Amino acid sequence: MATGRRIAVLTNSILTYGILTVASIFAVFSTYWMLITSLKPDREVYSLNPSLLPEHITFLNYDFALSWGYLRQLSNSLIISSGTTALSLIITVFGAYGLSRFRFRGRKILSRTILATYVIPSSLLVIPFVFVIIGLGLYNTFSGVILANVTFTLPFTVWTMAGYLASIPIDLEEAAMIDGCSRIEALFRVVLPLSLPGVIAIATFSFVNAWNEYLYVVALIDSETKFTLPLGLASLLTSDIVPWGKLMGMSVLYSVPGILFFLFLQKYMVQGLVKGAVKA
Amino acid sequence: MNSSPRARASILPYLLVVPTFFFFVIFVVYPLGVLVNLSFHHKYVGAPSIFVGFRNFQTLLQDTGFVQSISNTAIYVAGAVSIRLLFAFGLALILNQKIRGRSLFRGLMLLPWLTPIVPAVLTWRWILSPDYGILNHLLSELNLITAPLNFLGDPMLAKATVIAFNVWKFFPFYTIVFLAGLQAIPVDIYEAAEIDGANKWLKLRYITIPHMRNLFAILSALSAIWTMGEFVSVWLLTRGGPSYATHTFATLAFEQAFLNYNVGLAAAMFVIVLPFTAGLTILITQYLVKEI
Repeated sequence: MATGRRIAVLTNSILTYGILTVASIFAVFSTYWMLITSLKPDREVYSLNPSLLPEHITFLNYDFALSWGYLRQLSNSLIISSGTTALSLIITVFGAYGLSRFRFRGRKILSRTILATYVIPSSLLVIPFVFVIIGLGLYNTFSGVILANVTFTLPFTVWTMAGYLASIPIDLEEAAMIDGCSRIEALFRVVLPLSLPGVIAIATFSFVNAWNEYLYVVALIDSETKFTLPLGLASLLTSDIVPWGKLMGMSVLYSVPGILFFLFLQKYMVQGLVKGAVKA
Repeated sequence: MNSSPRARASILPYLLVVPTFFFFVIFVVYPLGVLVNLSFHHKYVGAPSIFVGFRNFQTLLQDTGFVQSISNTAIYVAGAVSIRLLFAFGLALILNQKIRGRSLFRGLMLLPWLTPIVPAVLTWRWILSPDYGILNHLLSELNLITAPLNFLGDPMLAKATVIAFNVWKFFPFYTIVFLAGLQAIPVDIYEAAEIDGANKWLKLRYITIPHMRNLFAILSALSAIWTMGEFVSVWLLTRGGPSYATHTFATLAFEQAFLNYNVGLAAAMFVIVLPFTAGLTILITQYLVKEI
């Protein structure tokens, strides 16, 4: 009887760890292979008998990336991502505060539009968006890309932030206002410091989204000097012979900062996402 | 001279939401109007637009390439959504147990979602390459294949690869949400069931699954609509090829608009899909909307 149960427990844990191991390999292998390939000399990259670890480690692929325009693309990506984060934070804080603290006409329609925009795929609007940006005189500018990024991050950030604000008791603002603060002062001095995790989550979300964006940058940017990292990377694909080692070197230099940034802030980010997604 | 506090209080909420409101009007609602308007015009980039009524739609419905792209989209959505949700749910069930190394595994599972999509696609292409790709090498080492598989060059394999990528890239999000949902089920229900002698399977069947039904519905709909509109991974993996085997309406429309400059026809493709998108959106917003 007891051994029967022990065998059942053992089978169960073997099965559990077996599945988890296979799933982990599935999840991790491609990033692993990206890193390993980037460290291999071409001779090993184009080997008919590839090894799972590099025999000779080389940094030549990173050298190539740096000389090929990585730094300019990195700075373009950083400008666009920071701009997106700043603009979306400002609009989100006010909008979410308005939505969560006041009852006004049109509130319901606005909140439904926000949700609907979160749901629709952004690729749907790419054609008319280009016309709108051209109409504003912002084609082939960072501002145009930033506006696109903000448009498609705003639904999530406003929704999540409004959720955070709703969880903060209104008494605190009222107390501050009795002490002579205006409503806006109360927002900045009392409410925002208390919702810092929410603010960090939406800032991370905006930044990472802009960092990863490809479609709207392709659609709105024309000159190579304004390429962001994903564009620079994809443009290496156009030739018939793909320089895989160099491409993986670029890929590592592009992916790693984003992954580290996320891991650094993931506590807030995952919290925020779960809250937004489950609640929303 | 000063407005009364009451009047100010009634203006303030509008001032707060005005930037958000303008963003949606200028960059979502208005473009949607432009899109629909374009679909009724013969319009090339740089050329004047001519009103042609429903002609773009007639052209599309007679075009075998477009019809195929719609059926590809349906296969893509059905395959990716069902596989991803089952995979994510199964994984969430396992990760919800009290097991050693749980947070490590959970962290590893996030990696596909954290890797930016462009390098992720490129790495897949490298792994799947018929010439020096590691997957073909491993498969032939294991004697599973005799000649290298052309994952992106064979119509059936290309479809499967595009689905597999989509499952891989986005499953972590669904796993996280399922995990949060599982953790929200009150523990005492399980304890009561155990006292009544329920085994693992019965608890899953009669407690866990009924509690997760709503989340399942929401995530299926969300996953369907997002997969439907997915562009970047399909475009960079196959460009819609070989021939039209993996073109979805999104990649075909992109090709028409940005490579052939036929914006009117491309807009019509999106407009044909709009009812499906709108239907799913309404379904989701009905499910999801809780007052903020």
